[in-house]
Amino acid sequence: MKPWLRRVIFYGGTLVIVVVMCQNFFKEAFLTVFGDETGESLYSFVRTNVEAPISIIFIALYLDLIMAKKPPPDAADNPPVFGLPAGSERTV
Amino acid sequence: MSLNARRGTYAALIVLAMVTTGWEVVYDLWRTVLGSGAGEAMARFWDLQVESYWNALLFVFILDFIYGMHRGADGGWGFAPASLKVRLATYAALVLLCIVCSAEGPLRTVLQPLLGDTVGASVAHYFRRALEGVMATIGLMIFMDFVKPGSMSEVAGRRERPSHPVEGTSDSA
Repeated sequence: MKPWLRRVIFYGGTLVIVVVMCQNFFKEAFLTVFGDETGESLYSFVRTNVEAPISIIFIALYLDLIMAKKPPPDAADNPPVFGLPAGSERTV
Repeated sequence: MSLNARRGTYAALIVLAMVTTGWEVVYDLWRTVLGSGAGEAMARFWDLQVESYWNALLFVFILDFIYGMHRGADGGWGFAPASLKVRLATYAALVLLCIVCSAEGPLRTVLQPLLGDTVGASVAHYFRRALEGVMATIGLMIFMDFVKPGSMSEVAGRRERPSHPVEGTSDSA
């Protein structure tokens, strides 16, 4: 699968999850499946955690846009800040 | 754009989001653009993402500077983690931040004389709302140190082998 298609599925899918989590039909589905009390409680829990997929998108954007081409720490344009000296990095 | 310029732009955008999403002017802007119902909902939605902004901002820079995450030679990710001392200091700083975030009352008492009643209370409350984001960052650091996802590099190498055999590698790898 092409890398750009993986990204469309990942970012698009995560955004769809965010939108679905906020919709009334999603809440109704919880109430139908789990009953009024448990469904309401479970839906409230899920809805208040909508920050999780948003965090995922923001962190993935950093990996994709800022670190995608970041060279190893011994490269001239990326001197180590707290990293180990050149040649001692862990790759596996 | 240089690596540092990209890092700075990302941090600036997240901080801008943190500062502006709770601002009444931005609420009004959303209402003007999308109407009172949808605009209010969108403004509130982005205002409620405090944990996301904190989690993203803390964790990406920890990945970048503390774990030295970078592109490996095989196209996967490599890591050049800082010494144990630096990582322990990072944990300590995050735990301290958790305590600061939890203490909304004392923080308000400290900030209100400096920033005024309204802004001081608002900033203290903002820190309180950030608590989940800071805790999530600690959890992700534990994942990095305990699970050691540096093996991601190995997985990428196995699944996306070069089309031409590389000398000295086994086909069964």
